[in-house]
Amino acid sequence: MSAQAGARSLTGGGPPTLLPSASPPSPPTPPRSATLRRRALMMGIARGKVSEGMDFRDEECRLVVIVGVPFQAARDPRVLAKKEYNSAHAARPTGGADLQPGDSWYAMQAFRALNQCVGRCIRHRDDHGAVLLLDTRYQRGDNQRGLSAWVVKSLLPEAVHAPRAMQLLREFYTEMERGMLELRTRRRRQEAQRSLASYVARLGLASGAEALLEGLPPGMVCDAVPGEPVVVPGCSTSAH
Amino acid sequence: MVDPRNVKAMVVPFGSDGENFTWTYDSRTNMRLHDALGQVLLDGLRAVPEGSGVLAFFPSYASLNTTTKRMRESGLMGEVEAAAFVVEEARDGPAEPLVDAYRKALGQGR
Repeated sequence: MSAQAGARSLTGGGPPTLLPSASPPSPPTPPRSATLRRRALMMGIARGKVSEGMDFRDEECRLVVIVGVPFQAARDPRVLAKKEYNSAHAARPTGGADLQPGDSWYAMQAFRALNQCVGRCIRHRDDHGAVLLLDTRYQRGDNQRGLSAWVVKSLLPEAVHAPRAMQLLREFYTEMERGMLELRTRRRRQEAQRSLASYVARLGLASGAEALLEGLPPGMVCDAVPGEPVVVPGCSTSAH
Repeated sequence: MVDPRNVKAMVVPFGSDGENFTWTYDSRTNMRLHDALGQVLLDGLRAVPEGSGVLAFFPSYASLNTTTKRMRESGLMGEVEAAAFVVEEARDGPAEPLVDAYRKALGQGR
């Protein structure tokens, strides 16, 4: 917050000479009138700062779209030199054991960058998300083998055209949202049962309390708010 | 560790009008490809649940700039911006402010 205030005072009407010339433009601020449930699109670069260093959990990333295969520029002199060096030295009987031939090195670099991009979307065990690989070259088996194992396991065996992919995406999200709702309901129910159990224990109903819990209608347990006392029919509240 | 049912990965080699998505040096000026890609981004944003984020990764700054320029010219970017808050990674400068703006737009931390 203080950093933000500082940034504002720097840009707010002061002489421009105060700003370093290489200062990047400040990012656009989301409009305040936007609904709280707004969607967002981040357009990034393979090997860039976003794809290599940032984590996006849960709804921060539900879909990753990969445009093309992230090869390094083939005409880059440094890439050409490295490819040549690797090919020349990997073929030697001595000294080249840890070097891959130029072409496999080049492909491995692309897959490393690709898996970094794809890996942005699943950050914990209960997370979910989708990946679209937009290039004809991903149809080839040898181009799929470089993908992280968890992506290969979930890869649709047949390639699809864009409209079909969108249909499958919608079905996937509907299913996942339903799963999350069920999980939330189950957790609320467990919490409510725990808070009810502790309340019953505080009342000192040692024996028969278990039976009381068992006999409660599910709706009632589910509607209980975790952390708040649960009103049990037939029990006097003066026991507090 | 990840349940495969929680991930949906698809190879999408063709756009809605059958365009071949082959992003090579020679295809970089084929505007039909950029149009079809813009449509995938728009449709993808509409497919994710409300309040969700979409990340798109391009092979280079040049290809990102070609696509966004084309989307602005064709009016597709206007539709995308109506559907979502849009952030583009810049060649220079830190990524954190961009990512923060992206997260804020999703209504995180309010």
